[in-house]
Amino acid sequence: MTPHQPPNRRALLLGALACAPVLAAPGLLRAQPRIGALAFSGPPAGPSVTLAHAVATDRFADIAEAASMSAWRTPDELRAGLTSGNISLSIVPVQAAANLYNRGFPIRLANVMTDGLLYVATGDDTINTIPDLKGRTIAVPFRGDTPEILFGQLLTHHGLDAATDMQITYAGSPIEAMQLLLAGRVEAALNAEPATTAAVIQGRQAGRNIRRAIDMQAAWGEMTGAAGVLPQAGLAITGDWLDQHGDALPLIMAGIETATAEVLADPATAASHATGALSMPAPLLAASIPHCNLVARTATQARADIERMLTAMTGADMAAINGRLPDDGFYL
Amino acid sequence: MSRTTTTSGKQSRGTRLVLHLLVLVVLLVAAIVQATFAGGLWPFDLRFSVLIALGGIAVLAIAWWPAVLALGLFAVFLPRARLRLVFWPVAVLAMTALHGAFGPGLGFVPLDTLGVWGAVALYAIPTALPILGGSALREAFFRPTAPVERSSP
Repeated sequence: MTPHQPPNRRALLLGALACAPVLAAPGLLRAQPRIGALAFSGPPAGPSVTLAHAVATDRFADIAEAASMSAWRTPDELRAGLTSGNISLSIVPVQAAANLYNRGFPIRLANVMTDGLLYVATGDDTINTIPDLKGRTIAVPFRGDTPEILFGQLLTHHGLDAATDMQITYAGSPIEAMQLLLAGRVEAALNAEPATTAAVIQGRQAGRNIRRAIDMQAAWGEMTGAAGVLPQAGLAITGDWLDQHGDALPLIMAGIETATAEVLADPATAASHATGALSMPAPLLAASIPHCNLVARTATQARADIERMLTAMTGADMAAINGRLPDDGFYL
Repeated sequence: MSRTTTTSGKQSRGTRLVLHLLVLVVLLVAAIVQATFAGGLWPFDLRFSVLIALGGIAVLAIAWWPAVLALGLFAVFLPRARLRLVFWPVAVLAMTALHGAFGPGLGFVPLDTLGVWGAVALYAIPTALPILGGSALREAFFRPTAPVERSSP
């Protein structure tokens, strides 16, 4: 029989090494598996600046190996990306997301990233309200899309008929609408940011005083009797992505909230971060940010505003969103 | 004893055209600098500043095209480079007066809002360009004016 001996130093060290995984177990169990590639998409407009800034400042470093931001150029490109699975997280027009959801596409709205970025720009001092547009020539981009639908609702509210009370020139793009206005071929242009800012900057250089004469958000609030907000776009996420990485959503939302505050506090830096991803000039983005009404409200918080907007803009049959408001499952 | 100097035909046609090209470059650079600082186009993006500068010139040229054409043609028929140079500030003042009279009707800011110096800044480069173009055409396609002889004791 061997006599009992006290443990030597080597035995103690080996014992400590053996215990280390056990001691670290709670931390290991808590840690989420990191996402390989966190790929955001968005339109080349204000809310995408927030995501591009968040990516550039490593807001998602704790949850993803790599994060990226890219821009889609047309709604068709967005739809193709969503249906093919190439796009999983994207800033999407709320109406488009609601329509996809109501038609059975697995997509949910995580938040609202702008409370509206539509303006009627003009160089005419006598245009200041919707009724002032009677008898005028107006450029409208994206025929049949959200801006025109909202505009049509406002005209109807003020007793104007787009077909008879004014001459509407449909432009192929916001930039074309801006060019029509600058060339003096129309008296006003309904446009989204940053195209409106581009018109203001270009007008200043050419001796024209182009200004945001009608804030569509304020006009909308006046019409609905509610807050002057148009929750136009937010981050939408596909069902597949949520199934795999849904636990990371609170951290993503927190990152976006912080990034939004930073973008509003320092538009120039944020614009520098976003210029490459969005292929838009930094000075244009920087000048546009204060007019983009950037926010980071969860979809649930914004639901009342979203439903008010969808109800008003889709009419009685709500055909644009497949006949009904999205149910609870739409809002994350 | 007398000394004869010439005020025209002293440099070759090629040299004069290169000088015109240099002036064009200077004018375009000045337009870009003006657009950047007056428009507050920061953070600086050269392509955007160029776009805004050229866009501004284009908007003015389209709105005032008869005047722009007239300036260019007038410059073609001014025989001496010095006269074309003197014509520039006169043309800027003329454009300022035109702006005051017809600008608001064409959608431009009224002169009393823009200010005379604002108008001068607005039209200085867009007015110089057609004059420069006319001057270059004259140098390229017209025979140099006969030398002016000056006698000095």
